[in-house]
Amino acid sequence: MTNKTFSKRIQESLNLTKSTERWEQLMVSLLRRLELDPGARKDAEREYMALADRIADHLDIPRHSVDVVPQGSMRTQTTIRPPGRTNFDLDVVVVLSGPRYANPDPELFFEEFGAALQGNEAVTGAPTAKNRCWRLPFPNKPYYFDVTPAVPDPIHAYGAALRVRDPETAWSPSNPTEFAQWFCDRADLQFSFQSATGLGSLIEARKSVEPLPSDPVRIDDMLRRTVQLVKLHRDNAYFHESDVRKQGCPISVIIVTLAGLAFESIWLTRRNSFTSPIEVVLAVIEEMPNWIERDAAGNYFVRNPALKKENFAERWNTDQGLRAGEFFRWHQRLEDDIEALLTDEYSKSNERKLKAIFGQVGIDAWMASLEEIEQSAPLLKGLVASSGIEVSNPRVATPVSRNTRTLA
Amino acid sequence: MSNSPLDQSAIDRVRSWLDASDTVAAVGLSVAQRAQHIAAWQLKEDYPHLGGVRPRIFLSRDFPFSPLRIELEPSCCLRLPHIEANGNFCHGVVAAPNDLDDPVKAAGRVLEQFLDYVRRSADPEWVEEEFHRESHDYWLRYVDASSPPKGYRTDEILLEIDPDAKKPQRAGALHLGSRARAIVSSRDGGPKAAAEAIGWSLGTIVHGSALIARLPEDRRWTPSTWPKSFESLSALLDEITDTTGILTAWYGSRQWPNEAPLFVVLLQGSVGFGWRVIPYSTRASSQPRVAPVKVSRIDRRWTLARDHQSEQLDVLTHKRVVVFGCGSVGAPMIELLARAGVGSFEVIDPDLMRPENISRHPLGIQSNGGYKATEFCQRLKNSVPGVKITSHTMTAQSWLAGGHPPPDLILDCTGDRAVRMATAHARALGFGPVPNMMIWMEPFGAAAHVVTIVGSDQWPGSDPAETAINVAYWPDDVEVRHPGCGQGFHLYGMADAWETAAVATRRAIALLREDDTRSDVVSLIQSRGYFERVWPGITFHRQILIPSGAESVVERRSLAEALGGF
Repeated sequence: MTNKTFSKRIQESLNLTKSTERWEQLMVSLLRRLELDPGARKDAEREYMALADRIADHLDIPRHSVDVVPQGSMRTQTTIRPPGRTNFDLDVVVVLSGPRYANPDPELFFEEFGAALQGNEAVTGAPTAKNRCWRLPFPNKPYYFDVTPAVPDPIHAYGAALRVRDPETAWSPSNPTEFAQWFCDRADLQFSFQSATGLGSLIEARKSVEPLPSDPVRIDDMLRRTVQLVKLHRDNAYFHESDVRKQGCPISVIIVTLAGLAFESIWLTRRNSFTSPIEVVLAVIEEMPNWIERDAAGNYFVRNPALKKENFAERWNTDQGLRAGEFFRWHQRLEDDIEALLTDEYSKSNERKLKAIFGQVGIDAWMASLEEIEQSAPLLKGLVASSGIEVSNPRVATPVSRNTRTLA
Repeated sequence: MSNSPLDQSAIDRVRSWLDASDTVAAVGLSVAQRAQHIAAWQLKEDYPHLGGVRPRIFLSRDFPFSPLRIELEPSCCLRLPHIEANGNFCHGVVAAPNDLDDPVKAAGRVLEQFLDYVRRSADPEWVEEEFHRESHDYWLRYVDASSPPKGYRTDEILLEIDPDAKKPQRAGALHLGSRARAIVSSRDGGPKAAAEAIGWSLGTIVHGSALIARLPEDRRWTPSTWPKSFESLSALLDEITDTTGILTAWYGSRQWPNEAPLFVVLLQGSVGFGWRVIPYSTRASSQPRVAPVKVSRIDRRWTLARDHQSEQLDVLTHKRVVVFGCGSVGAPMIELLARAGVGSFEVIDPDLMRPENISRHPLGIQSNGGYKATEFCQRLKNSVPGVKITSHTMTAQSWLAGGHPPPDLILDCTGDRAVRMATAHARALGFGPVPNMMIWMEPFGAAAHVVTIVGSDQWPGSDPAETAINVAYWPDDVEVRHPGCGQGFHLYGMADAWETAAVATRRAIALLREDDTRSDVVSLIQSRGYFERVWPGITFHRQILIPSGAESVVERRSLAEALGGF
């Protein structure tokens, strides 16, 4: 067993097989396919603006007192369609301001807000209450909304600029904008291979693989793609798990936070030592668990970087180790699955390994990318056929070989 | 003969087919191209991963005996496998039996191979695998394309080192007279001794050095992995030798003159990859630079066995063979045994090379007047690396009386009764049971005999060569007289001598390898009709049965059986 780290082992293998670009290409094209497409995104934006109008109308408050703020993956641009579902989970926070919301009763406020969401069920579907939000299923759309009502907390009495109803604590602090901003600032960090001097090698490398039309060649947005990849693996890994395990499934905000912290740390300490995006992705995945803190009592902390008082891992400390155990088990499996996949040569991979990370959609995309090679060179293929030779399948054709001169 | 196609009909059919196709367009030929080609076409599609150029198809005058040629851009060489320096796609398609009947299909087979190539080369893994599979070829192209500074050009390193060494080695290096070739040798006396043994002239002697290491077999060796700078070569050496700074320590260990030949060689499997280290003072850089060099191994393992059957080669390398007679049979036997791997020879022959010997001796007119033994030994030294060979211009009898240590084998190729008797006598007395082989031919090459005596077996003092071994009774006048003392000769040709040498060499190798250590007589015998034709009325000692349809037989008898009552 080698003592090289996960990311080093894979990188060496990728260097050998020269598969880096093809794997990156597959990842990016897949992740793009699993995102909310721009048309649906625009449609969703229109819907939540319309929602704001209706809420102002129903609650009889001025429209400028209703502020709709996207949060979660929509805000961090890390949405990914979960396996087995066609709908995207879009989170929005609706901030209600004005004298009426200076000091409301949390339960009444929440109920009143839920009632204000009614009346347009043909489009939104019937609202149902969750812990802190109302779900609007939008039955005919490729998404559903989790709408969280919030009120301003100008003196940060609960710790943040906003507070939201919490069934256990009455109010909880919320700062979706700051957290998203923290993440986006990190996602913008540039590694040296992405700069002008590093560009030459990337451009040169591009020449060696024919890009799919309109498909990106390399991982374009390393932190966001890492989060998407990791979330996709999580979704696939937990798809067939028991309900108990599903309860312990690592939540997105923890994944986003750990990835952001790891990414920033790598950028701060060794941004000059990478040569390709996939190396960074692997390093981030490797370092994610290092950012889980523990105190002397053994409690876990994944602090909200934009609200230090908030511990995203709070429930890890009260569930008899379920969530913490699941996190580390799943993370090990993530590393194992990625290593098993990426240490294979691209064209010699297999469906089981692809499915572990990308699900069925990954297998389909991989097959399509191989199929595409078979469909290339149509004119040459026609010319060969017109000579009377049956064109063979390239994956079973004899390799190009040269004369063997036995008498030399 | 005029510059006309070999098969106009085949060319016309392929031409019509391509002209009628809407996938290609005819293009003109340059004057130079016209010498070889009839016509050219260009495909109407391109492939971005093949440089985005539309491939050209060339039909040559000797089609279909030479296949269709497909050309990309020269810049594709070393970026893609199977593309030569001129952009030619090396498709490996050779003429097939039915190509004349179906020339369009013959052309189609090349295009099919190209289609397969277009598809496969989109896969970077395949590209790397192909580069690695023929890594030596691509390395040579890289060497050809490199341009080291003036005065630092080395076209080829001739490498003579222990190919088995697992650890890094250092060896001396010298440039040969031409300056474009260098010799690197770890033998005693270094490259100078190696060059002198082979007879290569050295230029102005500037001692240099080489650092040699082994590259792991599974290490991909492709244009994308080759170190191209001193720094990257240094990093690679650190890694494969597990020694930090091995290259810089060697390079900095002593001050060689600037022009000294300094090389790094990496061996992978049977092949080597070399670099010349060029001192930094020749350019504005603080680091030396490196230029790739072709490496040709000249060690015995490679030159005599291509790294195969090394154990058998090693056995022969340690054998010492004494050869009596460096004539028409002795000389080719020495050559065959040396190339088979026998390491040491002593060649004993007092005769001079004369013009009339040329018809059946490997030496030629340039050796006229020299001793056959001396001249032939020199020729062999110049031909076979590492062979130790000494000539003695004396008779075999004198040598036997000279008190030399016994060899592993005595080969008596003189056909001389006195030598046979003297050798038998020496074996019975001082030499002990040294294996002894006696080889001679009957006149006209009608038969050849290889008598092998080993262990305590003895060749009888009565020398029954003509009575017990020879097939026929040959009268005295079969020898052609020459007006000189003892200068008669028998009629036979070089083919007869070499056939005899081949049969005898096989037997000698079996003996030296200890595959077959019995005393025996191997005879190559022509048909009775042959004997009667070359000497009408000849009589025979014994009846030789030649199977119907055969012209000759190789017969093997035990020594006891052959000698019968002797």
